[in-house]
Amino acid sequence: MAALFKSLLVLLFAGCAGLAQAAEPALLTRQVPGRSLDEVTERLTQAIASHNYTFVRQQAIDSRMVPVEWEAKSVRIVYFCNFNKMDAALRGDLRTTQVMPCRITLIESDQGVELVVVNPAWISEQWNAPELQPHCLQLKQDYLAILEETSL
Amino acid sequence: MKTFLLAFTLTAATLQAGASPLSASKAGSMQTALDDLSLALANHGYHLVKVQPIDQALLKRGFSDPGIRIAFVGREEQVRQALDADPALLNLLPMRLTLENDHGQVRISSDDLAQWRESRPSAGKVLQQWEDELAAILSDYAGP
Repeated sequence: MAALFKSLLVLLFAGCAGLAQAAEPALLTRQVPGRSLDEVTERLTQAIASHNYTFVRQQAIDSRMVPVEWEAKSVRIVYFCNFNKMDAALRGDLRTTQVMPCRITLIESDQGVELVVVNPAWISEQWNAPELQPHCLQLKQDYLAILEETSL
Repeated sequence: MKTFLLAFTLTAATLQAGASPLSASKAGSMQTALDDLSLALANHGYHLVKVQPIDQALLKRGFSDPGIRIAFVGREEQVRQALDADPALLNLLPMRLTLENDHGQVRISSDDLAQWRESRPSAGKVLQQWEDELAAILSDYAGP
């Protein structure tokens, strides 16, 4: 009986570890129907500013990899950051560079524009650094708020 | 007690599985590192898309210098490869490399593609190719 209990305990711990890894989705997405890439980029830029982030730049996904006239017109990346948060994150752990600067990928289709972000809380789950997880969860919430405002 | 230790070890091992960013370092300045990285990228058909001077940006705003720059790199075919294998991979492009200036050594490290490979097995082949290319680039950077 004791052996069975011990085995169950081991499985429970291992299972919890697996659940912890699977808890966060890899990507955060929002669909903005009926709007063009330029319109959504403009809305996104405003949402970035209203959440105390600084717009850094936007580019085609293949910018500087192909001649300008060949660049993809339907996939764009917008970069932004909050320098206070960046400084705090880097003081905590240099692995946080894997989630900076903030970037959102915009993909235009017949249905509208899809906004996609790599979830920083998913990235940080792999670091085995519980002290960093609250920062990444906050960053995730900021992303969600920006996506939400952009999609209104 | 042994059971607890075994359970703890299993938990820690499971949590750490897959965390394997690539890295290489050598002596030199940040500028030299960027020059050498550019050459290494070109040797493997990659382009240096953009350098984000985090160090200068923070210094300019009154923060301390973290000694960090981020380089975005890629090659033309990666967009098509991502679309064919799994459009989610577009979010990795251009790929990110972190340059860290640490007492005269500049260490360059990649994002953790193993984590992506584990979560998107159908794109594993493409991700492995990209990881192999980054490993070759970093090996070139580090030199003999």
